[in-house]
Amino acid sequence: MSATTFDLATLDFDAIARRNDQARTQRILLFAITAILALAWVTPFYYLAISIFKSNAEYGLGNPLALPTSITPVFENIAEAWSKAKMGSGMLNSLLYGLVGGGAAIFIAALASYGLTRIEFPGKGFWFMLIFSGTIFPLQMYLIPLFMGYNKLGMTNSRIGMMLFYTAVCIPFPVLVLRNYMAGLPREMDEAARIDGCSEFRIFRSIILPNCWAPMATLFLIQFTWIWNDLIFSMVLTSREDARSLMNGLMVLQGSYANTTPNVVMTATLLASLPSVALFLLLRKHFMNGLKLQSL
Amino acid sequence: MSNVTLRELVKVYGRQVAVKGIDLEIEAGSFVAFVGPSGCGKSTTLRMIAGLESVSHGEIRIGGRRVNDVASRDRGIAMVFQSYALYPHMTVYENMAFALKVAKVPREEIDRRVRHAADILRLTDYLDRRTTALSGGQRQRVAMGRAIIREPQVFLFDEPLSNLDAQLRSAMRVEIKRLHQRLGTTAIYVTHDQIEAMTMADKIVIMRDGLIEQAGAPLDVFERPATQFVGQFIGSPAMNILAGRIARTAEGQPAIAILNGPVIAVDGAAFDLPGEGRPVSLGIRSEDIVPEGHGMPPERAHRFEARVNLTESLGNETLIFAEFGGADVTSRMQRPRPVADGETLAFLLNQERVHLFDADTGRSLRR
Repeated sequence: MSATTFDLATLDFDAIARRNDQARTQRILLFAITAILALAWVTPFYYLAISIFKSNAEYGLGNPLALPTSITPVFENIAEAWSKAKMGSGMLNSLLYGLVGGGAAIFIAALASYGLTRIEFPGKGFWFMLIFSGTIFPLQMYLIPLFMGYNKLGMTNSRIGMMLFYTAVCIPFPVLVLRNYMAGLPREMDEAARIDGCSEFRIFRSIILPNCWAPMATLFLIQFTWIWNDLIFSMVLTSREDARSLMNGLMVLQGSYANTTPNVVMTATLLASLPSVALFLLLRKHFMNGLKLQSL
Repeated sequence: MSNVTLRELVKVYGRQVAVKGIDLEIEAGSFVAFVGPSGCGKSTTLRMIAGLESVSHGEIRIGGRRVNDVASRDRGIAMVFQSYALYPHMTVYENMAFALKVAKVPREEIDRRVRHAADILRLTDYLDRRTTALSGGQRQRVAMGRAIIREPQVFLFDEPLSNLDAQLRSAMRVEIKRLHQRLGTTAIYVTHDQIEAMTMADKIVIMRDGLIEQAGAPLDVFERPATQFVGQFIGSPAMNILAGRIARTAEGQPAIAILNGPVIAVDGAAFDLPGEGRPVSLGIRSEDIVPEGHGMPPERAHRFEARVNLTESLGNETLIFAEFGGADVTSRMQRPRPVADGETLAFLLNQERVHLFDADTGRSLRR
């Protein structure tokens, strides 16, 4: 070790202190700004959190931001929201559409991606572009022709019709993602499987699919949430209670003929969003891996 | 084990010809190495044998059976890939068992064969591990385990060692060789590393531009290269090539007049020499140019002095790059002493170890 030649006595301690002070003021300022932003962000949640614990009368009379006096009214609110919006059947329908629509779409997209990355056939680029174009145009474009077509085929107000629509509309985006992902999986892996005796479908099932779980789970979550939250197509294609989705059902709580107070509406929306939150928590490990994409 | 026969094998991609008509007989139980620079068609040939590429023309026979239109899985082959191509979502055990599972072999039989293969390859302790948790050498052994478990007629290796570091590579070389001795299965091994080819194979096939340049036993190929390309490709450092013309010594002996260099007498009986004055290439390996006083002096030597441009010390020997006959020649110095760049040394060129090639076609002039 060599001895330092630096003389500590020449150090300007005041200047260092000033610099430190300056940095601290900046930090406090930044903190204040972020705190205000956070408050603005949190207020609606606070509003929701307190409102669901208020009775209709309590909500109507008191300050909307005041704390509730008791937590028991939440059960009445749940009961009222549940029965008025027919949330039971709505939830089952939405679950059906989300699971079947999302699941089938992603399975079909995986099959298509396998074909697009592993099998040689003429016009491969064209077919991919055709599927890909499904993600370019706004979905609302399909609304009118879809309604007319469904009407003619008698498929409005039908669960099969809804599942078919959701499946179809949810295929293009996963194809885009899965095609890229599968293209990154080493080709030698499926050649090894071919030599090991696999048929084309067996390679897909036993080798490619198990290595695509992460992006598939992510895509499923995205598509499930979209289907779950979809309002417009459900409103256009269904009106009867037996095929109506949950979000469509919530609409009866709004509008000029509805006599529901905001505390009940908020309880209903909170209930309606719980399943997709639960699904996210369930799949979050895959979701995070899926976001990293391609880590092999 | 089976023999493999290639006849007039051709592979085209569009108008591009990758393999230009190969005829080769691979005896049952032998270890054959395909070697050549990248793009010479050696991997394509192997992939055609594996059934991963279609055959454009010609035929492949394995054990006498024509397999051109037989699926990979029914050819009785197993392949080890450069990237190992292990299944990352499976354990070592599952990787090795997969082919048998697909073939619906009874579970007890699968278990017996997996454990036997794991025993041979010293993988028993790793059977429950994911392949992603293994080192390069271990992955390579799993890839080989996956191949031997199928008890194939022919093993195919596609540059299996090129992803390993130098030390592991030489250890695996021994391991593959030992495995081959033990199983006796016909093996076809593709590599761009001539040392792998020399050390492991019973027969080397040197390829260039989609054609076989020479096929033969390693030492034979080394001692009697059929072309200048083979001479330079096999052996390290590469064979020195000096341009010259057919001439005669003052005594009237056949000789080569090196361009801008001396006249070196050659054994006229060993070569089919063209007429005097015709251009030829003289090839001489670095170990056959001995710095005077280092190693056995050759019986018939041409002595010359040359200026040293550069030296590479390898510890047990030193490679000396010197100017001779207008070219840079490499010499091997045994029991080396320090040599300064720019120093002038005396060398003895072993005239009995000279190779002569036609200057135009590159073909050997040896009888």
